Amino acid sequence: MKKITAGQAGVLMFLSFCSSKFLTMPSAISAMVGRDIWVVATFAFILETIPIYFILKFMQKYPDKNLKQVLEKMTGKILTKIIIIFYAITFFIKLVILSKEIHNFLIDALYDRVTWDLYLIPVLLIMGYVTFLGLRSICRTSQIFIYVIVFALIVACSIGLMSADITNTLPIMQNGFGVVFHGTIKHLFNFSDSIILLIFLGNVKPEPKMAKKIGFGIGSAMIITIIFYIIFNAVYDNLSLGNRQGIANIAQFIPNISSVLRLDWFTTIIWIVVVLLKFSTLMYCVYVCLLDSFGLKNNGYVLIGIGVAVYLISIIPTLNIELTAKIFYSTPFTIMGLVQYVIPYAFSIFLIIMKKDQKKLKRNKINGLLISEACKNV
Amino acid sequence: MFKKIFKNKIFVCFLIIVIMFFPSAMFTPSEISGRVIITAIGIDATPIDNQIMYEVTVQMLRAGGASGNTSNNLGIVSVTATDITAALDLIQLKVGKKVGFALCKLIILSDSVSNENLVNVLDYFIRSEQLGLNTVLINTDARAKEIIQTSAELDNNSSFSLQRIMDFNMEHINATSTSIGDFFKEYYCYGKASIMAFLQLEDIISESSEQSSGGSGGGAGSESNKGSESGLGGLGGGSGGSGGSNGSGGSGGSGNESSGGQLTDSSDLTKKAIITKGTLSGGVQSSSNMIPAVINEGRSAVFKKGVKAGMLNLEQTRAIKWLKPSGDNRGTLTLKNVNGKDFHSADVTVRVESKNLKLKAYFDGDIPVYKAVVNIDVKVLEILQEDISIDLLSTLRTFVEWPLEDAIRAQIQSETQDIFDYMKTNDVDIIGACRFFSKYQLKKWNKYLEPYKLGENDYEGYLENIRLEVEVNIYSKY
Repeated sequence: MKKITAGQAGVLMFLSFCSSKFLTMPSAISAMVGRDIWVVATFAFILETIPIYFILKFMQKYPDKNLKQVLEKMTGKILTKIIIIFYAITFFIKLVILSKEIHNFLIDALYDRVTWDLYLIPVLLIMGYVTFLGLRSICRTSQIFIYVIVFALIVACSIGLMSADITNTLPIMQNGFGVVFHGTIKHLFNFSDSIILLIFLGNVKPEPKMAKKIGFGIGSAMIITIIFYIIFNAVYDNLSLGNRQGIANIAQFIPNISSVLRLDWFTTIIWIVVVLLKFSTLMYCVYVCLLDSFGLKNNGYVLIGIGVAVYLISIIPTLNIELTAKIFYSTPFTIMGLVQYVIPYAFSIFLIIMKKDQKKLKRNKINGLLISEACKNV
Repeated sequence: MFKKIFKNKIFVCFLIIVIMFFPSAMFTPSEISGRVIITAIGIDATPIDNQIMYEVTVQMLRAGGASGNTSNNLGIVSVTATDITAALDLIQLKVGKKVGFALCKLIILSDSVSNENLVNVLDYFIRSEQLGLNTVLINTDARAKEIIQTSAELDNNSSFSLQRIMDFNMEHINATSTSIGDFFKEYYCYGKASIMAFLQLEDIISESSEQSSGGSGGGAGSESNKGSESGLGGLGGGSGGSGGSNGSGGSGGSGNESSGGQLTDSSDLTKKAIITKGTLSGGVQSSSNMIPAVINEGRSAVFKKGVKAGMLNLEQTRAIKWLKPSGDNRGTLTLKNVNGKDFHSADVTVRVESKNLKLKAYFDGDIPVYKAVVNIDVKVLEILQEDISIDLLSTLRTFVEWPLEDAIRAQIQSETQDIFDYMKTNDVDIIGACRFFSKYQLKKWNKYLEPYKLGENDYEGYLENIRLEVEVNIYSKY
């Protein structure tokens, strides 16, 4: 498979980080923690930055090692399979949640009569096909759209700023740290997009500034997300919990009513592209994890299986937003949100082990050379 | 060749999608032809058999009309129902199309509804994802339906004339936005008090002989227009032309003629509006020279816990700007009897070119102090005094010095004290003092609030012991 460039990886990570965080997440967090949504995001990102640093460092040092190879070396074959299946499930759940989110987004922000049962089929077909073509196709599509997407983000935030009162974010942690901590833990599953980086292992062309380029993409996405949450809160204050389509809602509060109409449609339409790109990224992650765990090569039937499963779960009529939220905030989900960080954090240890191994290898090589030299002399 | 084409996966995907969506795309009428675009909503309430019935009037553009002429596609529908959802369903039934609120920018609420909790009336709209939260709420002592009818006539292009007035109010008079979003924000905040723009409807005498031939609309500044008295440009003049040409409606028509779900074209609106007005004014005056005009005097309605609690006049409404950072406030100040080096009993008018407001919340012992530091940039517009000296025409002087500075300072302090006293007397926290203190002095403020707590997020009487301090710094760049 052709590898992607560091720039492409950075762009895709940027979009993956931003996309779903600008939909229902701000209002969902607000319902739990009030006006401290940006504080929750900051804590979650701090938790994420540490493993991202180690994964990127690992990527820079060992650009040819993919996740499966690393895990097999560190944990053995059986545990590797279990871990990869766990990640396949995690990505799959994220994919289903995103599918539900896209549906809600279309209904709320664009068109109230979207028959998702029907529209999901072409979405899955196209996204499945893009996924089948590989990571490079997703990245190249992302590269085409990135400038328009960044422009749309700037437009949305600027319009939001026109009616924002930044002091609405005060007082910080009014209900205490406990509430914010609880909110952070409950939403870790949604914030944890750094695990996508694990799939990029071994798929990025080695270059000197690889880590910096990908890090820049992730870092800027984090900063933009925090800024977005601050503006969202500054605009909506105590009504934040009632505006579930953040990116569409933030541009609706233009104070001047007669000269400017609805600019939010621009960002809404662009954001559909963003969420669909994340959709294909997550689909790719599930696909790769399943291939790796069952030792398969590129197999279209696996993708069809994923598509059918996503479709069937997405169209369950009882799986409405309330039930989804109940499942999402349940204890098993919270535990899953925490467990998914184990491997990213473990990369700090992997780095040390790999370093030691390399040293050993080097020493063995030198010893070997010395022995052969000595033999020659003898 | 066909085999080759059908081996192309992208083509096959494309074909499947086309086949799948072909029936729904081809045999469904276009979405736009099945919708009406609502530009303004008016809500009145009438008790019938001990039950409140809502009369909902919508002004709408019928999208996808064959003529392409906007005025022909403009319509007003009015229905009466027990709740807003039922009323909107009825409207859909009458029109035969779905209603769309994405371009609705005004909700007009008459006093008949504002005397009950507006949160219930507006619940449908706050839940609607279509309706923007910047949709402006307007209160009126007339019937909301009449305001909508009149405004449509004024500007043959839906509710845009009213929208412009609201923009002007928001920019120059009200310190706060009065949108549905702001209303709910304030309602769920500590003070539960908010203000809303207020419009009146009055009959004005039109010079029908002149206007019957013109029809171009008089607009602001017409002598016959009462609105011009308020200095804000009345709306009534605009309807003059068509009023004259259609003014044969007679005075005896029923006020309800245009209601009951009848879809009326804008060309009929003048007639209908005048008939309605003629009936309301007792049918004494000939409808041909009586024109209903929407009057904007810059007044505001005050709401507490969702119910109308009082009114603010223009001066009081304007004074809020000195205590709230929002609003542009390029208004004027007229200072009477200014005496000093250059002025002798002079009436001086200055324009506030820009304003910078810094608010501080602190405690002086146990007393909370709400301090506003107002930095304004002013320009002298007019000096009225007898025996005006030629020195006062000097372009090299700004005249913004003592005693004028002191007069401006005193005026602003008096205005702010007046509005603050109003707030205390009526216990309406329209400047959001409670929220402001909670932002910067949370612990002390919570302690201070304890005796005033009635329930969850419900406090009363806390304004009583707050001290107001206003510091005014005056500059002139001109």
